[in-house]
Amino acid sequence: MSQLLSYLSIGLAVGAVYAFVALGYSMVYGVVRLINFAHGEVFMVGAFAGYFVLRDAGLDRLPLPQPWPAVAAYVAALLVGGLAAGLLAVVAERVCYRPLRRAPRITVLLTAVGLSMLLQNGARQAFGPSPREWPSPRVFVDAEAVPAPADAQYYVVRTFVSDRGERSDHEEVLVAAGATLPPAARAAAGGATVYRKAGLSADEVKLGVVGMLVLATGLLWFLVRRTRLGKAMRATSEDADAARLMGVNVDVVVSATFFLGAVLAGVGGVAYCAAYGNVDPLTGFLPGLKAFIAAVLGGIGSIPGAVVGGLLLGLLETLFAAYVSTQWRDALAFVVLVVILVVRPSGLLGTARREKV
Amino acid sequence: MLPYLAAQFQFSTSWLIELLVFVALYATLAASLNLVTGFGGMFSLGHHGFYAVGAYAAGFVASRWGAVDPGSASGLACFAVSGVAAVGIASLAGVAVGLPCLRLRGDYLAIATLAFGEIVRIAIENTPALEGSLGLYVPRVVLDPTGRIATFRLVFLGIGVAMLGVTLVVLRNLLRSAHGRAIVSVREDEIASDLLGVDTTRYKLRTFVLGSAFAGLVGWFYAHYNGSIAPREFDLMVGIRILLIVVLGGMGNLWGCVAAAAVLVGVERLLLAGVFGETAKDWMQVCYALFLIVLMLGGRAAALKGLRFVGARLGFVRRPGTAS
Amino acid sequence: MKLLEARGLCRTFGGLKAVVGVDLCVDEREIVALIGPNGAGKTTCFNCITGADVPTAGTVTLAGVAVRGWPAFRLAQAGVGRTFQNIRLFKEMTVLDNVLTPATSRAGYGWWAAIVRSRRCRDAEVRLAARARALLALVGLGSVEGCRARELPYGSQRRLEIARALMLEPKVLLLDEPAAGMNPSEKVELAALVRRIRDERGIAVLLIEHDMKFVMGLSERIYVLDHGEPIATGTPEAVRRDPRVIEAYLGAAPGAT
Repeated sequence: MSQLLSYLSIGLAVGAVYAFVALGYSMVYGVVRLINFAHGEVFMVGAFAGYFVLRDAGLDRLPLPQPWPAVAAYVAALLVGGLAAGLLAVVAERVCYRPLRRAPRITVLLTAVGLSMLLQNGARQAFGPSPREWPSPRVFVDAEAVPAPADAQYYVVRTFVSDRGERSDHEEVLVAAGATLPPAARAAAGGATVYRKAGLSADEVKLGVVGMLVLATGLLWFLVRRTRLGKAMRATSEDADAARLMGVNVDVVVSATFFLGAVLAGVGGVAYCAAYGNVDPLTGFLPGLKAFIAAVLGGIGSIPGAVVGGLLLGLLETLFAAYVSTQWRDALAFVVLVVILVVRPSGLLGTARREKV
Repeated sequence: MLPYLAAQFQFSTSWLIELLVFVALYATLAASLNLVTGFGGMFSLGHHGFYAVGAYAAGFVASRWGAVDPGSASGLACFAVSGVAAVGIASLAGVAVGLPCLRLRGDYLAIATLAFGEIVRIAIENTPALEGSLGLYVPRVVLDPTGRIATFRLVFLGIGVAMLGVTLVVLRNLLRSAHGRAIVSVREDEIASDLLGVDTTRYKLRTFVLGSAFAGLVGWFYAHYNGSIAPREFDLMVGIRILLIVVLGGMGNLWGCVAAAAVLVGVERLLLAGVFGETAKDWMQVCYALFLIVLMLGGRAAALKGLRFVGARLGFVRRPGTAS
Repeated sequence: MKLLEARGLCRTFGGLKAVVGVDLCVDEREIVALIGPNGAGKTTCFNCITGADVPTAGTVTLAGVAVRGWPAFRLAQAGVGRTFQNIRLFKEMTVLDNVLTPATSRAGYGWWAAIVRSRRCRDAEVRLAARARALLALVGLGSVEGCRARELPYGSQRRLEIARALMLEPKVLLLDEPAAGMNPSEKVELAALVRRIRDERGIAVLLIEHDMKFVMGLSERIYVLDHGEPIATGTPEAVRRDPRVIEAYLGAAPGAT
């Protein structure tokens, strides 16, 4: 029973990440009828931004009692990740999608595919193809007042120079393990600051992700239902030309939609990589595709649909992996896609659209 | 420029022949996709899936055939049977994908076919009999290439050109006929076509299956040419490459596929050979993506103008085999 | 036996009753009109009859055979031809190909014959092309057979749609606002064309139109719809004087309840 609960909680957390990304797909589709194929890459860029913040910004050095430095580091990572993703999406929309507002569908689709490939391969060139370990917030031994857990591991950061004269960056070296740091080890570290990794526990991550989703959904609901921008978004998604004639600045609405959707995806990216422990240029591809499937499952264009679809897909996938087969887990999402498109193409919460003869 | 290049990189005849083999291969793939997407109006982003299915069907048959002398009667029989298997199984896959998916609208069909391409890859990687990501070894049944690479490639060039020729003739004849008109009418206005007596569902399915059958045929060709196949060689990049050739050559333009394949494969192979420097090689994927975006944003006319400009700069005044 | 008959036709979309209790019939060699203000449900009726839509209730019979629920292509092959309110030509195909397309089901050769371009295929193509050219001549488009459909002027496009619908050798031809956007002289030619189609080929015609003069001058019987319901039927003279029809089009007379 507790096994099942554990799987359910994992499924909810995975589903929450999918929901974050699916929201972006749904919102964009709702407003411009475009499947933003590059959305998965926006997820990846957000994750990388968060990675660099966690690794280099040094927020965990803040002179605050634990666990606040780690919390601050994570909050910063999420914010920066979201913002970076949002900005990228706005630029992409302006450069690649806006000129094609009236173009045939295949042109837009191929542009999106091209953009996705560009970001993936660009990231690969810039960051290298190998996965990078997700940085855990560091707890510095000197600043620590609370005793460390018995299985703590202590690290120092060193840079190495290889035979060919290349500097490697940020190599972590394990110097000791245990509840306390032996003085010998500290001496051997030779002045470099020693720290241990205070990662978030699995339960904390799950709780955090689901909590953020609830918060985000609430904020979105408020935005869409109670603000002028939300009203403009709804109007644009019904009939963009009519909305324009009514004084809605469609360009701003579209940019805002892309921005919001991407911020959510960026946040999702940080959460996803924090949970799985690594990040690489291809991180966005499969989750992006699955999140799209989740959006379709819930009804593309529908905000509650994206949340429902994401959570449902996450649960299905995790349970399938746990009780049927882990190898074929990725295939399940695609099977779900085919099934939903055949049985109910408008999705669980979507509305069917008729073509006038 | 050309003589300089030839001197610098010592293009062997063998290298050139292989380039032509791949031009024929990709031109055939592009023509089969053009039937489905350009003429039929069905956006398929999973065409590489059928290519993979065909390759693996052929490879599986060949690997289970038993020991055989290349070029012997048994070897050629294996070659033929594996071809039938490739086309047959790819067609079945076409039916399996087409039946549920062809009722979907443009964007959705594209994603559904993309999903199919991914499912094929995952399925292959998880099937022990197909050796997964390590690659399936395809025994030589036509000719043993050891010691005579150039001859081997030449033989396969002949087969490849025949394959391309047959494909083009079949497609051209079909598209000129009443059935071709029906296919195009479905693309133009499916509802009107339906109301004018065309069984649109049947035509869409048949077109899709024919396209997948040809893709399977190319898969058979590739499996026997390469001697081994791995899922990596049938990934989304391949699918994008095929689509790019179709778009560049002109959707609904069969001869354009050949010209565009020549350009794309040619440029890619030159890049891989390091003709434009090592950095160009690394950035090839990025350039591909950029090119696709520019192509879409600027339209085919602009992209062709751009290509001519670049070509002129590099010393190629006229692109070979252009059919505009 | 009526050629085409619809009884008790109903079509509702959620809460919207587009068509309620409509009875229509067309006899052989008749020219019948279906009129009514915008939104009356006329095109919806057409859709139900041609298979583009499935009626919520009611029956449709063609030459005595119940055809409600038949797929559109089957109805077309059975002899129901139609044109569209918003022109639906195959824009990138040539004029000749547009006309040739509906004959696919009667082409007489299959995919294999097409691929090898057998004798049978080539003969059939010659036959079909001759028939298509005759139709183009009938509508006056013989000189532009090689042009793309989208290059034609509006009036010619409407005539092309008619020629295309005739290729199926229909028993009844449904025309949805065939005179829309035409100038008076074009309308006169169109009326003459419709009469020729009926007289020379024995095809019954059911048409939707807004131009009263055109309708009154051409049709033998008229059905009037308003808000999805039938409000009058009869000869042009009777319908013209019917107070309900006048009210539907012009509104109630001042002082009336």
